[in-house]
Amino acid sequence: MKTPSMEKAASRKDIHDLPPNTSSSSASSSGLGQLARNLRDLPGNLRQAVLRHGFPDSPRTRSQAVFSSLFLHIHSVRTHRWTLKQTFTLGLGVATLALFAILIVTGIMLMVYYKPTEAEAYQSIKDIHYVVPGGRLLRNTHRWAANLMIVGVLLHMARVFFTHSYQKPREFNWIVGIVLLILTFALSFTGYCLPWDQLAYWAVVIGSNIAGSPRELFEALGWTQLAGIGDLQREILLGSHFVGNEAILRFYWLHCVALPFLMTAFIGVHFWRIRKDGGMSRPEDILPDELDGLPSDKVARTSFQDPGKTYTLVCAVSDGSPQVDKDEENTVQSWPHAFRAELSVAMIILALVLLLGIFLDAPLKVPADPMVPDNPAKAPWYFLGLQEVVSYSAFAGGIALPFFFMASLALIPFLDREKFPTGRWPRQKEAGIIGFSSLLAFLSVVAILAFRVKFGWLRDWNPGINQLWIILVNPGTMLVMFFGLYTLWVTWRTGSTRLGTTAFFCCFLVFFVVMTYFGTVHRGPNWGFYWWPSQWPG
Amino acid sequence: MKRVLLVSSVICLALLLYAPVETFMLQEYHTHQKKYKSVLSALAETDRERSEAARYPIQIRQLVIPELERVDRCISCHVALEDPRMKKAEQPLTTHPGNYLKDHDVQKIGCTVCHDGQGRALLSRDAHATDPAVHWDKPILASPFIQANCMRCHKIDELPGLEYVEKGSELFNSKGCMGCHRLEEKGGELAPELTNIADASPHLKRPVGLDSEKLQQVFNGNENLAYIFESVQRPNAQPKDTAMMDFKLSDDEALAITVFLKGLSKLDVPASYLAKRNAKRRRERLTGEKLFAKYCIACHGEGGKGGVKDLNYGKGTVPRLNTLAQKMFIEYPEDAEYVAGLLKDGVDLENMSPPLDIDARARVLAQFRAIMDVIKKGSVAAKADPEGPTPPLHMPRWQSAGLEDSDIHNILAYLLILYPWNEEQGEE
Repeated sequence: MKTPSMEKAASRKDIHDLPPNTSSSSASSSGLGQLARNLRDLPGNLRQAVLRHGFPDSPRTRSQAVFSSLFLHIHSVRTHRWTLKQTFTLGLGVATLALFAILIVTGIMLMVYYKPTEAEAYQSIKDIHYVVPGGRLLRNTHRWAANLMIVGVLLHMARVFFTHSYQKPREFNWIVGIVLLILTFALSFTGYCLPWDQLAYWAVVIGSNIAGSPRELFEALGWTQLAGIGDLQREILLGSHFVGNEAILRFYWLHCVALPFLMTAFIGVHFWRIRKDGGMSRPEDILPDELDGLPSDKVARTSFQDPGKTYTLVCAVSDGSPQVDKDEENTVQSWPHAFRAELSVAMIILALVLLLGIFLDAPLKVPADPMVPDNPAKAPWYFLGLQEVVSYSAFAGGIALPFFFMASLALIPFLDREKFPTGRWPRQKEAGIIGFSSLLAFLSVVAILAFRVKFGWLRDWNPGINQLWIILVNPGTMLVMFFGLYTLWVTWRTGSTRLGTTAFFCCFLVFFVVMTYFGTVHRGPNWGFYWWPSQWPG
Repeated sequence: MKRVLLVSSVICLALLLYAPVETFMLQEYHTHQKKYKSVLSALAETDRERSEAARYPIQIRQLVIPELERVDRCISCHVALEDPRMKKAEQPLTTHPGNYLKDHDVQKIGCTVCHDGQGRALLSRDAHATDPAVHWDKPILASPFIQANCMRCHKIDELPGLEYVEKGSELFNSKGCMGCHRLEEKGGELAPELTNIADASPHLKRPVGLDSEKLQQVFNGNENLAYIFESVQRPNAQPKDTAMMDFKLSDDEALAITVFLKGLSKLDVPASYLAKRNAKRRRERLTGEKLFAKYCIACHGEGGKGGVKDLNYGKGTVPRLNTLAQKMFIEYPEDAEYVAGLLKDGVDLENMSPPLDIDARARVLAQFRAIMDVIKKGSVAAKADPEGPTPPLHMPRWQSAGLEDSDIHNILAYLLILYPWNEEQGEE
């Protein structure tokens, strides 16, 4: 390990040997002489201008680098050691960000070749796949990163929920997180439509029918004068009465311009809030041995009674000064410790995505054919749980249920104001509730699906039934009702809103996972039940 | 953590290095073109040939043919198809068999307009599009099915050697298929239209009764072909209650009709691509017998003997037509021949001068008018059981099904002389 230190020494020497600024040089007799000297000094001056604080190899220069760089200053100069605990964050947030970065880079490159018109979209994807150098890898990594990002966002949300990290003062950032979840779904869905093969086309058709589904509700209610709202929504989405050129351009615009812009803005807010809410969540009662094995340095154990940090701007308020750590600081330099951990996660993710991209091709079916419905016409996998409910009612599955779930999730920090140990995974009673709720939710979802497959549903028993009944009573709404009652029961029984929301959150996760699995594996042509896709007719 | 970072970074680097190597050096076409390059330098005799062989570039090769809306990259692997020295080489480096390329400029026509398959693909599996799990629309056509694609630019009778198309066309036009099926604005409307049947999506139309082995062996996994074959040979495979008759076709006959139907594809070939002889061809008029075979025979039976059952039809079977002379109150064979001759010659029976010389002229003419009317406007089949289902077969409206008055006259002329004068008169 001599080389790095030698390099360090060398680079430090470079910094110290920087030529002095030549402004006061009086020896120059002519302008040309000055120009010659400036040229000679150019490499050194350029380097100083870029690095500003010298080569970042000492704690001091590194701190300065983090502090003064636009990109690095998203981090605080020092990071709490709890934040570096791998079993706490699991690296999920960084992993998701890395996936987003991969998506931006590959997406921008794919835009060079992709042509958003009905006639050319499919053929341009074919050319990207076969002829564009590296195009196949670009498209595959883009596809894989998009799928993994959905998983990453959901897991990150679960991590934040289970470690009680949404609690005050982080309620707002939780809501921003829910917005990011919705944006991720929207980005992924709009991208799914762009290849304009059979998969894409029929996914757009399903999506646009969901947008038009208020018609279903208002017609069932008999309020026909309002039914146009659904048609209007559908038209706004498609830019036409039919899925065609306008729709493809709109999805392209959403996917490549509007949604990435929103996503980037909200990611910015998300990170900003992490800083402003006092860094990542952590317990107040950290025992010394809980931090064993984590990086440490000389100042990590220093306790600041009179905070060495100065808050030059926020201090100037009348009603008390902002809270700073009262305990021992327990922080380490962000550079290298936090950065290295984050870079490792990003690199692992990149390696995974590349591996998948090189060896597994993103699907591309036959070109879109408006005359021939893909059977089964399936939405992207993460919407198949909802599509199960959409198979009863587009309004219930496409609008009511997602709205209910997203609104309930967003309101969690406000419905539960209890103080549980922030930044710790659940223990004892809470873990028990998680286990029991997940099991109960699993059994109830499986039971209702099995009942549906075995005995059918309202429409099978009474073909002439008013659609309103089916909007109100279908496996999706029944489960939501059951989950709601169960949540209330847990809250009442335990006397704890946190345990109640925990029950609800587990139900949501299990509902999502089981329904998605069911829609992916067990639904075949005409949305019929099959044990395996290999049993599909034909 | 440092080690994790190092290992993951090395993996990323390795994968990023492998990707361009794979793209630029390890594709299927690289293997084939390298092989061809070595053959070229082995075959080279002069210095110039040797230096050309050495400079032979290994690259994606494609034929861009906007007129036919296609980009064919088949020649990236089938790189020697215009090199006569490669006749004995193995696929894909062999010369194009036959001398088709003499009349078919590859640069102008490309590959997939004759062979089907996915021209844009570079992997043989995707280019041939035979992977049954994908249900590609246009898998590559093997012999004899490839004869079908000749029909995109040629007419049947101008090309020798299209046995299957010829036989299929002959069967199609003599079994009365067009009594029920429509084809290019002609024919009945009782059954699915056959225009563009060759483009039927395998997602919508796929065989149900063929075992997968036959599908693979005979049809090379092409579901469209298998579907057409199945529908032709076993009409009741799907749907079960079809009104289509089972013509008891042999495998070979059904195969011929399949090839003929596979030629019904909606590709709009620009006029400059059509074989020149087409333009000069005159429309030949079919005789009454041929017309009857083409449009009527399936229901009204061979020689107009009738006999096809029509479910819940008042009279049980589709009416026989060889008693037309009797129905038109014509009493002697000579009269029948006289009227038939007039009809064939295109004479207007009602306004001719001198007027029709026949007994009971008014009755004959009135009946002639009534029969013309039924043929032109069609008729509804009366139900036997009023509560029962609508009989599946009924007379189509021939005036909108492609038969002109003169065609109908020819058919009537043919039917008039079919009357079995020597036998006892029929039951009707």
